[in-house]
Amino acid sequence: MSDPKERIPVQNILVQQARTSQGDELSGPANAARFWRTFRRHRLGLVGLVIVGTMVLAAVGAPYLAPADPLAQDILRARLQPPSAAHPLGTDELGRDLLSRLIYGARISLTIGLLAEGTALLIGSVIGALAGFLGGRVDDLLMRITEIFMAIPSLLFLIAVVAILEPNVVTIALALGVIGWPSEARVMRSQVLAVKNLEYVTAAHALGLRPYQVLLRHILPNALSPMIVVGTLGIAGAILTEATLSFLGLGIQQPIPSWGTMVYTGQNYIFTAWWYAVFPGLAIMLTVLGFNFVGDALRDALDPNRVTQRT
Amino acid sequence: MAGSVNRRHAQGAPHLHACPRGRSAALLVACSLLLFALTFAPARAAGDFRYPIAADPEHLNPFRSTTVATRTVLIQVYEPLVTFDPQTGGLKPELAERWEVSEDGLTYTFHLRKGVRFHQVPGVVYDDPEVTAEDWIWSFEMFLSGDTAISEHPEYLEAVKGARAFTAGEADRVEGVRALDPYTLEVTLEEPNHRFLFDLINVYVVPREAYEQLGSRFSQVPVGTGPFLFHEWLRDDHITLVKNPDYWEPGLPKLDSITYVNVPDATTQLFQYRQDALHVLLDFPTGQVAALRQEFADEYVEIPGLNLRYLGFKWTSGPFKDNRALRLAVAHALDQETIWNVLMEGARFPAHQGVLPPAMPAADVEGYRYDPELARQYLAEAGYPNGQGLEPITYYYFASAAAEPYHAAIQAMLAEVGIPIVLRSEDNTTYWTRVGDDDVHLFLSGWSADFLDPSEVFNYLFYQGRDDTNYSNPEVDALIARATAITDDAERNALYRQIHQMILEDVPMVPLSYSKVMALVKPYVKDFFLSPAGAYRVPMKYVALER
Repeated sequence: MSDPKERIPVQNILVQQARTSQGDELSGPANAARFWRTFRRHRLGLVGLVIVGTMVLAAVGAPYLAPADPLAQDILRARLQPPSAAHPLGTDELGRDLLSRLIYGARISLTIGLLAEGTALLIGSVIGALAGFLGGRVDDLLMRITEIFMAIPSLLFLIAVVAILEPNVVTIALALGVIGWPSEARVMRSQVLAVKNLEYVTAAHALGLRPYQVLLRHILPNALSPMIVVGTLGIAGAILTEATLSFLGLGIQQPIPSWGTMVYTGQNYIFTAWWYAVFPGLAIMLTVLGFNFVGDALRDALDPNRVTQRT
Repeated sequence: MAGSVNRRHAQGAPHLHACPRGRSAALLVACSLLLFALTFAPARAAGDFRYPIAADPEHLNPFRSTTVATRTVLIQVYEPLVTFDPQTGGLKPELAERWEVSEDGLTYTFHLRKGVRFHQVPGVVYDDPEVTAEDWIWSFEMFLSGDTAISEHPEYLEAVKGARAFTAGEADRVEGVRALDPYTLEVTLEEPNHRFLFDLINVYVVPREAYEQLGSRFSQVPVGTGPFLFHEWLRDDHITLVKNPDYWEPGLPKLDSITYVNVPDATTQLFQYRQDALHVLLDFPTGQVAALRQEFADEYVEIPGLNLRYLGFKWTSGPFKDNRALRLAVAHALDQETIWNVLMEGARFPAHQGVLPPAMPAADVEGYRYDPELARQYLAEAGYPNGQGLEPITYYYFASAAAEPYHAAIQAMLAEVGIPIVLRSEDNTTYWTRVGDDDVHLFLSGWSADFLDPSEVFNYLFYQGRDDTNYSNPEVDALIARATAITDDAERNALYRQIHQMILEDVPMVPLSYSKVMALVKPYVKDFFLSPAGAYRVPMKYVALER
C-alpha cells in the first residue's frame, strides 16, 4: 500500500478518516486501554469476567483443584451425603464427590461452548461475509440456506446426530456449531452491508485492490466487534443446549461428569438430596450468566459511538 | 449504535410515561393468570377417574397393540373370551360364559354370552349390534392376517388348526374355527397347547362395521364391547373414556369416566397425585421410592410383578460369542443386592434366582451369585487374565432407563474384576431398532410376561433366536416346543425346571432383577386390583370412587 499512499494522498486521508471514525479498537495499545476503560465501567461485565475466569481456571486446573477422583464410587458408605468437610458439596447416588465432578464438568462445558461457537462463527462469518459482500443472487441463495437452517429445530437435529454418531464432546460440539451458525451469518452480513458502501471501502476499490483484499483487509476487521459479542453469547447458548441434551439422557455419556447429566440424574433426588441437582444447576446458570454479562460488556466496550458519547 | 440510542431515550423518558405502561403490564399479567387458572382449573366430575400415562399410545388399534401404552386403554374398551380373575390371577370367563375342552385337548367349545352389544358411537351403523359367533370368526381372521399393516399378532392364534396356512395366504378361511350356532364357537387346535387359553386374553371381538366404516380413523377410535366407550383423544394431553350404558354386566362399570392424563415426568406425576389431580400413581420417581413408601404408608400397594430386567450378551457375534467363561465373569461380577436394594431403594427384586419372575412355576433355581474372585477366575479362563487384551465393550441402554443410577455402578463393578465397558444411552426408538444388530454385544433389556407361565419367558427369550441376544440352542428349542404341548401342569413344570437349568448353564444373559408392581392409590379409590402383569392390567370396571 505504500505506492498508492504516495500517489494519491487525498484518498489516503479519506481512508484514515473512515478508519478512525469506525474505530478499529482491537489494534494499538491506546485502543486497548480505551477498551479496557469502557469495559471496566460495566460492573456486571466484571462479575461475568470473574465467573468466566473461575470457570477457565477450574477447567484448566481440574486435576489439581478437585479434592477427589470424580469417577470414584463409594455406594455403601458415601451415598447421597449432604455437604460436609469431607465433601464440600455433598455426594451423588453413587457416592461420588460432587465438587470434584463439578470442577471436571467445567472442562466439558467450556470445551463444548468454545468448540461449538468457534464452528458456528467460522461457518457463519464466511457465509455472512460472502452474502453481504457479493450481494445479488449469491446473497439471496445464501440467505435462503441460512433461513432453512434456522427453521431446523436444533434439539431434534442434535438428537438425530447423537443417534447416528457417538455422543461425545467433539461430535456434540460440532453438531451444535453446524446447526447454530445462522444468527452469526446474519449479523456478519448486516455488518458487511453497513461497511461496504462507506467511503473508505470505495476508496480501497478505487485504489485497485482486488475484491478479496478489500473484504479481508478493509471490511472484515471493521465487522469483527459485533461478532465477538455474538460469539460470547453463543458460547452461553451452546453450554445450555448441551445441558439440555444431557438432561434428556442423550448428551455426554455416563460416567463423564457433565453438568446437564448431573442435573438430570439429580432431579430424582431433589426432595431427599437437594444438593445433587442444585449445585450443577447453579453452575450452569452462573456460567451462562457470566458469558452473557461479558457479552454485554463487550458490546458496550466495542461500540465506538458509545465511546464517543461517554468521553 | 442502535442499542445506545434506544437506551438514551429510555433514560430521558418522562416519568409519567412509565406509569400507565406498568399498570397495563400488570393488568396483562393478571389477565393471563386468570386465563391460565380458568383453562387449567380442574373441571372434574365426581365419577371421573384420573389415570396417569407417561406417553400417548402410538395408536388404539386392537389388532396391532404391542405396548403398555396402547394396552392400558384398549383393555377397557375391548373384551376377550376369557380374562384374568383380578383377585386370583387365574383365568375366568369374560365374553364366553363357559367352555368345554375335548378329551384329546384339541377342541374348545365356547358358549358365548348373550345380549352383549357393540358400542354405539357416531359414524358406525350396525345391522345388529349383538355379538355373535360370526363376529368372533371375523375378528380371529383379522388377528391372523399375514399383513402386518392389519395385524401384528397372528401368533396369539397360531395354535389354531389351519391358522398358519391362513396367515400365509394359502387358505381363505381358518379351518379350525366354526360357528355351531350364533352363540357357540368351536375352535380346533393343530396339537394340544396349554398356552391357548392364556393367549386368548389378548384376542378381542371387534365390530366389522366399525372397521369398515371408520376406515383410517379405526386406529384412533376404538369401538368394542367393553365397560367403557371411547370419548376423545387430545394428542399428548389426555384420552377420555366414558361409561358404557349398555354394558352386559349389571351394575358395572362403577365409574362415570376415565381420563388418561399424559404426564411424561414421574416427579410431575407425583406432584399431581399430591394435589389430588391423579387418583393413582404408577411410576415412582427414582430415588424417592423409599421416602414415598414411608410417607404414603396407607396408600402404598405392592405385588410381585412379571417383568425381568436383564443384561443381554450377543450370542452370535462379538466378544461373548462362544466364550462362556467371559459371560460367567460378567454374571458373577455384579452385586445385585447393592444395585437393587441400595441404589434403587428396593424398587425391584434383585435377581438371585434365574430368568423367571419368582411368582412363576419352575422359578426357584439358583442364579449367578455375586463373587468377584470367581469372576476374575472366569475372566482368566476366558483368555483375559486381569482383563489384559480385552477391548472395552459398549453397554447399550435406553434413555428411559438413563435416570436410573446403576449403569455407572455396573461399569465400576465390572472394572473392579477387570472388564472394561463404555456406557451408551440411546433414545428409546433408536435403541429398540439397533439392539438386534450384530455390533451391539452387551445391552440392558427387559421382558414382561403377560401371565404366570414359564412359556411366557422361554418361548420369547430363549426360543429359536427370537430375542435380541440371538440365543438359540437346538436342544433347548426342542424341549420348549415339547413343554408347550403338555397339558398336565405338574409334568410340564418339571420339564420347565430342566429347561431353566439348561439356559442358566448356557448364560445367554444375566438376569438382573424382577419387577414389583407398585402403586399409590388414594384411600377413596375402591377395588383397584393390581395384576402381576403390570398396573396397566387393572380392570377399571370394578373400580369406584367413594369420597
